[in-house]
Amino acid sequence: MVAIVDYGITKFGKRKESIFELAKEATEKLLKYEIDYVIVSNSYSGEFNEMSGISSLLTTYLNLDTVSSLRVDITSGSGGSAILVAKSLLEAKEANTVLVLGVEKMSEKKTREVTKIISTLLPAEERIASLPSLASLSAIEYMKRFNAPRESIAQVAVKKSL
Amino acid sequence: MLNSPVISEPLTLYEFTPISDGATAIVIVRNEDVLSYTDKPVYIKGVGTSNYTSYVSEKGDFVTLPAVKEASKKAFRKAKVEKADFAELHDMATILEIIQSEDLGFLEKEKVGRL
Repeated sequence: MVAIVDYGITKFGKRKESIFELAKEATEKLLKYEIDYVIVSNSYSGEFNEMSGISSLLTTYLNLDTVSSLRVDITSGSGGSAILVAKSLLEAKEANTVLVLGVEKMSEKKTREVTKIISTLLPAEERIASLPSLASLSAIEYMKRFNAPRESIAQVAVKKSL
Repeated sequence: MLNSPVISEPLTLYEFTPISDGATAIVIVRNEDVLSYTDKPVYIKGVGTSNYTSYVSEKGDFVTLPAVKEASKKAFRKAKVEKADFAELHDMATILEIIQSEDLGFLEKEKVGRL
């Protein structure tokens, strides 16, 4: 079995800091450990931040230049899959102390551009739909099939704001 | 909530996650090394992943997420537990949290609208 032994987190929202500065803020108190593998969970650094090889760029920025790293991207499932990869590396004894770092900097692009970029997770011939419109389709079908009141769906957001 | 601007009919602005910046990090080690780091470790007993068609036109049913069902089944099996006391779900839109809660067996379909 493996276990999480420490963590770091930034405030979320529209941040003025770069993707590197956000990563540094989240990892600041974790770099005292002898990290020997870095797994970066990130989906859109190419599209949102115009960069490639983000895991290497991040290890360099964090002064972990010689530490192996890789990026895990399966859109919304990236974080969970990054944990699975870290667990597998530890269990295979390929690594002893793994840093899993999730980071995304979305606000550099306009909403319209962000929506368009995210919709590229759909096959090319179906990109007429946006992800919000697919969620709407689910909501419409749900209300129709189960005779659910519109308010009951919005209650989820009410609960989150409590 | 319902009076906020419509993003995609019928869902409104506050029913979607915002476009956001941020980072989070964790350090994971093997069981035998845990105590040299902390006396309050969070053990990862099971992880499950799955996938489903990317084609919207092939999904067939929009009120269930087969990958969520499959991934959770794997995670529960690996962890050797039957139920969870706490869950944090993908909440890009309000409706998704309801559908996932049902697919995970936390809520019964049809009853949600009556809660």
